[in-house]
Amino acid sequence: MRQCRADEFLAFTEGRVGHMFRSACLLTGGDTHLAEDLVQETLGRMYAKWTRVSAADNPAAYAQTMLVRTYLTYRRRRSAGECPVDEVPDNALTPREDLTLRVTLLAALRQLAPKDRAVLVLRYWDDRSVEETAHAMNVSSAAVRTRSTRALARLRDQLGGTIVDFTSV
Amino acid sequence: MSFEDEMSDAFRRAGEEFRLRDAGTLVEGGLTRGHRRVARRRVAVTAGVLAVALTTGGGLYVGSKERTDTATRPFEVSAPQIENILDNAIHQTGIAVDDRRFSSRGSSTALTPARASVNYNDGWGRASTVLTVRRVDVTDPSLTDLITCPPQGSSPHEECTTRPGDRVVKGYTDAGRAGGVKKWVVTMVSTKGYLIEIATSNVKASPGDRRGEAPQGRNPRLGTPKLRLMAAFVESSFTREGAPNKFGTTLYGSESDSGDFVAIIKYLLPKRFQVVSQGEVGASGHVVVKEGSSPERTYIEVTRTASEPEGQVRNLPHGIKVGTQELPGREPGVVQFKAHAQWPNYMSISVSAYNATSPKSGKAAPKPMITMDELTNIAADGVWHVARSVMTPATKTDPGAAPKTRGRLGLFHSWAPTP
Repeated sequence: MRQCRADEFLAFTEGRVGHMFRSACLLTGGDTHLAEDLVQETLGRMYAKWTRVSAADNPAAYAQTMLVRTYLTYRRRRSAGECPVDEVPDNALTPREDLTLRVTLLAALRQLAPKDRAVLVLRYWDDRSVEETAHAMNVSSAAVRTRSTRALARLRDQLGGTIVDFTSV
Repeated sequence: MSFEDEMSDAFRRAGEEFRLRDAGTLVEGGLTRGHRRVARRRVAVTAGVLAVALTTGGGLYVGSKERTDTATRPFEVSAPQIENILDNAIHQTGIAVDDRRFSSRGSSTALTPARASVNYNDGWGRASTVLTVRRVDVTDPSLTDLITCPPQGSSPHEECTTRPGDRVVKGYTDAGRAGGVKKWVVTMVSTKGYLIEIATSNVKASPGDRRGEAPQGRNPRLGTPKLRLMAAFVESSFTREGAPNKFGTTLYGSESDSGDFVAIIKYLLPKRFQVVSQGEVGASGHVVVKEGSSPERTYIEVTRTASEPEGQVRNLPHGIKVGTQELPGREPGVVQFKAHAQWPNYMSISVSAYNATSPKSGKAAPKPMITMDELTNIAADGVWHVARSVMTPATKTDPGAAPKTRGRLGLFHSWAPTP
């Protein structure tokens, strides 16, 4: 029974873990180590609730929702003084044009509140609707709209109105 | 294209740049966490009492296993060597450390472990990390106990993860039970015959000398992935014959490494300059530049540091604090322009320019050919967030010493506070 459950879990996660990791990287503003920990923690929670996850209409969306909630829980629990130099990503440099875009976008994302960041990741990375985003974050649709508008405005300010400049270098 | 469409495209391009290096290990770790989560739920009522009793027992158990090691394999490492290995390992993680204070003890017998501890300033205050290396017989079955999680439901650790192959087990001391003091440990058995342990805790003093110290923060600031990286580095710093190699024992900063600092300096330099020479060591790099056919030269160096900006300090947008200074050089007529930027996340970049071909050379121009504003722009550029200062085995001069195999197992475990 337990082996069957584990096999199902592994079969599902092997196909999803890459996307979850990339989502976590965006949520953490590029901190890949923290992203790995978030994904691992999310996988642990998923396994504990595997019966419910596997019975969901869309297990992949369920997994993404759990990832976002794990991230928000982590941010809520973490005290303000525990975010030292770990924010420096340990990734090798990528080609110049992608590097500029990535650095610029991640730097701008890091300036946002965690919930604003989560809204943007769900809306523009996961292509979720306002209602789906609201469900994932346990907030109202109006709150998602407000946060989304506010976060986009902040990003627009920080990026100088457009991000084309960073992608066409 | 609307800004929202641009954003979708930007997210996709930025997100897809991230590559997961070891998906299997991550999934395996998640599965193990899941197993433990389920087990904890089942034994929630009795786990507290049981865990308190076993925390002490577990510690004694580990200790007794270590004392049974009577291998006579050769082992020779001096105090400076183990100290350099720890120093290089901590720089390997990419964090900026300052004011490092070491305490070390070498070993010439397999019965005695070599040990080094470092107390350093990481920009958020002082922290400590301890490295212990012991020579062991890898065929000794009792070693498995040191690197395998206790049975589910009877573990003294709040969390413990075992991974197959190059495995890692990790655990956190219960914050409430231990008064908020946590110690994270990686224990690894190297296939070359070493038991390697790296520990850190969320107290200022070293983990073995923590009494009287209040915990600072919820967790140790050196994260578990970085500890795993350090353990892998230490493993690659020893030969099968029981001695350290140049890879680990080279004095930090005495050899060039292939990092990203020079590449980024050249990327950020004003286009009028041509680079005539360059160099890079750890978390710093430098270039010597000229302008056109002029014989004048300027030395520009960049260092990631843990110190605060000094001189004329002002604030830039996005919370960046910048300090600029004009200082006398070492040789007559040499001037140093210095711009130091610190981000809200405490990453600090210091950029200096000299009107000389090196900080110790004679004057090679009336003044540095780069302006203070240009230096400030270089220092305050966000691209430094992705600068790697990692020393890689491929850049070292002793290829025979580079690791051919990875360690067998690793362990994170917790320990109980001293009553």
